Amino acid sequence: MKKRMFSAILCVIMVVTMMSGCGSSGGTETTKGTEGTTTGGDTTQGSSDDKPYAGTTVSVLCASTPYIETLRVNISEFEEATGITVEFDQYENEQLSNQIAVNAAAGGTELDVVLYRPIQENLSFISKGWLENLDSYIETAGDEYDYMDYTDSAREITSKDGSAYGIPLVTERGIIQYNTEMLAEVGYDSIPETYDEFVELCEKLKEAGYTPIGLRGEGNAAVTQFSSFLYGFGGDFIDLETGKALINTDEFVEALQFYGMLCAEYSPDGVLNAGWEETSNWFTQEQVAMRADCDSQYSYALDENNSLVYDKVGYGVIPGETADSRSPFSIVAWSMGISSGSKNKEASWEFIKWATSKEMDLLAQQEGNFSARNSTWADESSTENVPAGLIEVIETSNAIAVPYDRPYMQNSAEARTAIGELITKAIEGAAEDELRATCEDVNTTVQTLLDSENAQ
Amino acid sequence: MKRWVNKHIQHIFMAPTIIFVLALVTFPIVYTIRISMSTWTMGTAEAIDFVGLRNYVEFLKDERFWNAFGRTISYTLIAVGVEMVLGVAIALLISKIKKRTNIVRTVFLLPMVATPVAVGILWKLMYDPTIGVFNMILSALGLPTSSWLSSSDSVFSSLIIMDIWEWTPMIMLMVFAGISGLGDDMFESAKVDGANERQTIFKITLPLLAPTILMAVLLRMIDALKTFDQIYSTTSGGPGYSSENLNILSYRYAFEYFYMGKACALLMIFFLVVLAFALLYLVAKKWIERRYQ
Repeated sequence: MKKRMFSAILCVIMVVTMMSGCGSSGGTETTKGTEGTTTGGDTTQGSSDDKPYAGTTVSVLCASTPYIETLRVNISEFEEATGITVEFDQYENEQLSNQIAVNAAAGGTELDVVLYRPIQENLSFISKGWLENLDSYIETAGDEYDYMDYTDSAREITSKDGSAYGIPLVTERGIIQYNTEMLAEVGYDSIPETYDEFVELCEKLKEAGYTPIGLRGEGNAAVTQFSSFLYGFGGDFIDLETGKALINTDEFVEALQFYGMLCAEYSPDGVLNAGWEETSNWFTQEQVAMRADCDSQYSYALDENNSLVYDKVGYGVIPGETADSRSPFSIVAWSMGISSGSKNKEASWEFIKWATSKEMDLLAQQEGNFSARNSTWADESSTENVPAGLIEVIETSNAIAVPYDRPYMQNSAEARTAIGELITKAIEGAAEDELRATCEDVNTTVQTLLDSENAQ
Repeated sequence: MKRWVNKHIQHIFMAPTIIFVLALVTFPIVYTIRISMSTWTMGTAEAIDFVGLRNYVEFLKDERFWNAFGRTISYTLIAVGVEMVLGVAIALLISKIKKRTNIVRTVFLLPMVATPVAVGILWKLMYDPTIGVFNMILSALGLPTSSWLSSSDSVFSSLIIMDIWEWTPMIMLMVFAGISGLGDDMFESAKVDGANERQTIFKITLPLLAPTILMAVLLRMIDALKTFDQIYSTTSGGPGYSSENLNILSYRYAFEYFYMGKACALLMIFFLVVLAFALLYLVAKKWIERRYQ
């Protein structure tokens, strides 16, 4: 009898465990603002004229950015006003792309609002039919939403053939952060404007016993930061007007050798595996005197609790071959779109309209984001928490910037990996002949991809 | 009806398993073969066009594929070779311990039960050339430091060391189970005949354990061929392509470049390689059963 009861209890436990295992959902992190009522499908009971989508649950597939943190903190305001429940699913950058790809390829019905990287993914996602055309939604949103408030380049990079597919969320520029104390010790109070002078500064820092600069050296991750140095030599990835790859040009090889030399001689030992987190850690823990990376990460260095340099950070524009050839990148790093397979497109647009409204955009910038809206930058309160030196660098960089930091093409990911391999070879000290030969091969690969895209 | 059920009772009981295998194993394989013969890039409006064996032929001409293939095989042979020697040695040593055997065994098994991704992240930190503990220890001992995962020259060996640390316990566990199953008679006879410890190990213990060791090694080889978590969480195949194996390469083709057709073709080639090892396992198992019975 006892044995039978024991067996019965074990069976029940196993079945319950199995059922709960079958019912689990994906995502690394999911938060709900309020108790959800319905997921997917149409609106249910509880909707009214002023809350037409009440009862709907909208999923937001996103990465970790200050803007998303601002939205999560204020989401109850939106949920109370509309009756829509919002679920945030947060992933690492590459995992986010994978999640979108896998779900979208299966129809995209599980996706509503998605965050994506317009330069790398705009053309690819649109050509695959994964993103909803937002023109009609923007039109009905009218003057209050003011879509034209976004900068020209931001609207262009999130559109195709004049139609909008994403709303720009986060902008970034390549800049240099530096430790004011270390630079002052070697007689500098700003970043030099030319590459030669910059190398002189690195030499002086090295002689003083410091590691001069933290740079991204992990191939794929390094491509975007390498781009500022490439543009400074007058080079580029592709000629967007003619559709010609420019990877076998003298300027490209020169830029590779320069960037490779900076990494090999003036960066810490682990540079070949370094992405933005490593360069940020090096800088905040005083392992390096300077850091060349995105300005959107500036707040980590100013965090009193975690940064050793919070009170001694200076900012500079990335140098060029000459002072006039300085051309850092200034891009829309993230944009927000709607999955073409979503069952809640209208509710998703309600969320995007609120999340990217002038009010929320301003609040996000006050809390550490860098916006693509002109009105946000024009409001003085948006930059009162941003260091004055950084504002100056952003304004200078914006005036001379290139609006992309990687090959802007449909097969951007494959091109980026191939160029990353070139950067790795340059850092490992490949001879010029070998580097040129590999550049020629990569150029052929990228040109073949471009030709097949243009033929479609 | 009742007679029919009684006559076919064994098929009826097997039916759920067969349906399960067909749905969850056979169908995905057939679908993968279909996609591998197309150039589908995951577009929703895109038709799945048939291009025959073009993807396979392109891989046979691709240097990157052959480099990944070579890395996959050499990683497997080197890592499993060392794991075999260490696993057997540790199992033999533990079998000599009479007290607190459970605690000792548990400690040795801990690396194997940890999540591969967590192991990868931890070792990535330990391997860091600037702040990692390995270079700190080497510096303290006056030895030259290494770039570990940060250099194309040392990344391969660094990943193998990590694999050895994590999976030697698996071979150790299987060999230990084999040792526990050996009788005492032959060892007592050997002792009476004057055999020393070394002779006992090499002339009696190891030959008797040969079937168990071979099974453990072949099973571990099939796993090692498919290594993904440790490499993805540490280097993602880098620096450049220098730690890219077939699994990482197929992941990149599928989820970074969205070349599903090519990724599926690569996975079918990979499937055949793993199948070859699995068949080797079955052949070896039969041979051992005949030889030692």
